[in-house]
Amino acid sequence: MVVCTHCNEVLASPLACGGCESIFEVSSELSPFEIFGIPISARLDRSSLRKKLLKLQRLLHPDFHGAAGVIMQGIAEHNTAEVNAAFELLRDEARRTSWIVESLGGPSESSERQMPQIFLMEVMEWNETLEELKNLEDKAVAQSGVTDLKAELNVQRAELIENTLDNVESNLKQEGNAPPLTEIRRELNAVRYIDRALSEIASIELSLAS
Amino acid sequence: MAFIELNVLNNEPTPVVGIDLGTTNSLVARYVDGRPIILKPPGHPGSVPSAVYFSEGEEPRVGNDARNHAIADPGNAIFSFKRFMGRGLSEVTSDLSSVPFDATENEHGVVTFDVRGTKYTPQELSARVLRQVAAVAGEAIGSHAPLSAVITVPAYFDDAQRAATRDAARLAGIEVARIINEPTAASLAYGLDQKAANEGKEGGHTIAVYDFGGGTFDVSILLIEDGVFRVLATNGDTHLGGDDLDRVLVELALKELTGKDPLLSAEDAADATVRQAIRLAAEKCKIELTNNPAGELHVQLPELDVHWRRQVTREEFEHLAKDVLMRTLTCCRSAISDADLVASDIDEVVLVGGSTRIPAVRTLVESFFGQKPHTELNPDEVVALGASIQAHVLAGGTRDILLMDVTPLSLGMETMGGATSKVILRNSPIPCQHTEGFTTYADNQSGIEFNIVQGERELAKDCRSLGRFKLTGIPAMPAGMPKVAVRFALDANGMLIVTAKEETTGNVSEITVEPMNSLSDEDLEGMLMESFENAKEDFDASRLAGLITELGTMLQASERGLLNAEDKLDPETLDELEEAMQAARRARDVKDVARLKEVEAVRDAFELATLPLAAVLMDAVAKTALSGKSLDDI
Repeated sequence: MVVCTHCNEVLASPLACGGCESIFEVSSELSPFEIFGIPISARLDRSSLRKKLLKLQRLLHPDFHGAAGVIMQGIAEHNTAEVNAAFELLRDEARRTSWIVESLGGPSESSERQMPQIFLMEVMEWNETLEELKNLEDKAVAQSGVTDLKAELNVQRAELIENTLDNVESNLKQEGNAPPLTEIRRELNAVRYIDRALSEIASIELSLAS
Repeated sequence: MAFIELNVLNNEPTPVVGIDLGTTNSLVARYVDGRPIILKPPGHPGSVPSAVYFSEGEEPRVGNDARNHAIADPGNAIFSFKRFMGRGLSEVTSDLSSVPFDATENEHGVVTFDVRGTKYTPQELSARVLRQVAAVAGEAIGSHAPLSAVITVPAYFDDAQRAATRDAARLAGIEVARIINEPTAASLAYGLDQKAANEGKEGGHTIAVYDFGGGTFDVSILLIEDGVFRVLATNGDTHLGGDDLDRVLVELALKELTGKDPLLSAEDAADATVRQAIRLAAEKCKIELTNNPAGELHVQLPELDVHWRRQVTREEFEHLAKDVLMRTLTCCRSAISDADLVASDIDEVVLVGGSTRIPAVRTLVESFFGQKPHTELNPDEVVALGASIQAHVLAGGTRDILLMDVTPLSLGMETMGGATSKVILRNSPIPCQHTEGFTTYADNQSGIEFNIVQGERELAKDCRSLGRFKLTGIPAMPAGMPKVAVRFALDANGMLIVTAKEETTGNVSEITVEPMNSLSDEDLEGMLMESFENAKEDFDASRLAGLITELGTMLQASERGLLNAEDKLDPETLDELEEAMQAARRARDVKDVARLKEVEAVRDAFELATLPLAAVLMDAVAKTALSGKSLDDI
C-alpha cells in the first residue's frame, strides 16, 4: 500500500492522489494494472474501469494544470497519456489477456505461430466466402451473406474470449489444472484471425452501404 | 493556488476567449456569468468574413469589406484560405480550380498567394483575420484585445494543418490556450452534460455531432459520463463542404450556359471574374432553396451581355447534391463503426455548420440516425460558443467539465520498402505517446533521418508526410551500437512532438529533431517582425490622423477665442500664440508617418501657447455667469 507523500492518503493510483489532488512524476515503467491501481485480473468490470478512468483524468488532465508551470504541465500530459494507453489496453479483453499471458512468462503474439490445422481450414473458408461476397452483383444478397458470416464469427469470438478469460484466471490463481499458457496464446491468436476477418467485413459493409 | 497567481499579478484577469476560425466566417465567444456568449460590439454582427482584400497602395482590408471586393476585383481578394492551411501546392489543385485567385509554393513547400507582387501564406492571411476577430472581442468587452484563446479546427485536420493554425495565432500575437476540434466544441455548447446527468443512463449518454461547414465535414461520436466528454471516434473529409453544394449549381449553370446555343464561350467561362459571378449566383440560389421550395439561379454578366435566369426546385437540387450528401453518410458510418456502435445506439444528434440549414441535410440526418437532430442553437455560432466553454475550463473557471478527444488519423513511420508502420492508431485518446528505438547503419554515423506520415493507407507515399525528421548529434560509435529512443507524442492539441535521446551514453538532450517542409522558426520570426512593424506603422498612421484632427479643432477654437479676447492678451503672448498657430497649420499638411514625433511636438507647443488665452476666456465666462447673463449669450 502506497501513501501520498503530501497528505498520507492511501493512493488509488501511483500517478495522482485523490485526497489532495497532487500529481506525481513516476520514473519506472508501470503496468496498466498498476496505473489503474487494480490487481491483475482477466475479468474486469467495464463500468467501474470507465469510472476509474474518468476519476484519474479529472486529476491528471493537462486542462486542469494550465497555470501550474511548464514542468507540472509536462507531468500532467505524460501521466494522462499513460492512463489513456493503459485504459485502451485494459478495456480490450483480447489485449488485456494477451498482456497477462506475457507477464506470466507465456509466449508472445509473434513467438507462437502454430495454429491447429482444422482452424486454418476454417479461416480459408471465411476468406473464400468474403471474396465471393465482395464480387457479388446483387447487393442485397451480399449484405445478407455478410450479416450471416459476421454473426457466426461473433459467436465464435465470444466463446473463445470466455474461454481465455477463464483459462487466464485459473493460471493467475495457480490452479492445478490450469491450461498451459501456449494454449491460451493459440486461442488469442485465433481471436486475431477472427478480428481481421471482422474488420474486412466492416469495410465490405461500408462499401455496400455507400 | 496557481490560478490565483495570474489574477494577483495583473489587476484584471486577461480573458481567454474561444475563436472559431472558419472557412467562410470567423467568430469569437466568451464565457460570462455562467454562460457562453458571442462577442458583438454595438452595431457589429460579431462575425468576421474570413477574407482579405489587397487594394492598390492601401492597407489590406479584412472581413466584410474584403468579401465585397471579391466580385469587383477577384484576383486581389483572397478567401477560403483555410482550405490551403498546412498544404503543399500539389494537394490543392482542386481547391484552386474553384477560386478566382492563383497560388504558388515557397521554398518550404508552403502554399503562397501572390497578390500585387507580394507572397502571402494562408497562415499570414489567417493571422490577419484572427487579429480582426481579437479586435472585435476587445471592442465588445471594452478592454484590450484578448491575448489568449482556444481556437477550433476541423476534427479531421492533420498535424500540419493544426501547426499552420497555431502559427497563424502566433503571427496574430495570440497565445493558443488550446486547439480543439470543432464538433467536440459544439457538443459542449449544447450543455448535454446536464441532460446526461439528469437522465443518468447507465454507461453514459452517446452523442453524434454532424458538422457540415463551408469547406469541411466532420462527424464525431462522443460519450458523456460524469461531466466528461469523451470522444470515441471521429471521421471526416477536409474537402467536403457547402462549397461543394455551390459547385453542383455552378456546374449546372456552366453546362447550360455553354451547352446548346451557348450564351457563353468556353473561353469566357474560364475567366476568373465570370467564375466568381457564377459562384456567387449559385450560393445565392442555394440559400434561397433553404427557405423556399424553389430558388433562382440568376447569372448576370453585363460586359458579356449575359442575363440568364433559371428556376431550380428543391427536388432538382437534392438530386444534384445527392453524391455530396452521401459522402457525409459514409463518414458517419465509419465513425459509428469505429466507436463499436450502430446508428440506433446514438442517444442524441447535434447539427453544426451553416450547411445543416439545408432541409435535405436535415432529412438525411434524421432518417440515418432515426431521430430528430438538435438544431436549437445557431449552427454558425455553436462552435465558438463551445470553444469559450473550454477557454473557461482552461482558465481554471470550472472543473465540472472535461474534454477527452482523440487523434483523427493514424501516425506512422515509413519503413524500408516504403510501407507504413503505425505507431499511434487513429481514434487513440490524446494526449498519447509511443517510443521507438533506432540505431545507426554505419560507423560513426551522427544522424538518422526518418519520415513520419499520417493517414490510414498501407504505403507511406499514399499517406500525408509530416516531413522528414532528422536526428543529429548522435555520439561517434560503431554501427548498430547507439540506441536512440525517439518519443512520438501527440499533445492535448492533437499535435505531434518528437523528442529523442541516446540511451547507451545517457546523453539526453544532445540530439535535435527537426521537421522539414513547414514554416521554420526563422520564417515565423521574420513574419512576426514584419507584422510588428506593420502594426507599429498602422498605429503611427492612426495616431497621426488623430493629431491632425486635434490640431484642426484647436485652431478653430483659438481663432474663435482670439476674436473675443485678443485685446486682453499681452503682445508677447499673442506673438507666441500666432507663431504656434502657424506651425499647427503647417503640421496639418504632414502626410509622412515618420514625422509623427515632429507633429506631436507642434501640438504640445500649441497647447502651451494657448494656455493664457484659455485662462482669459475662462475668466470671461466666469464673470459673465456672475453678472447673471446666460452662457448662451456669449
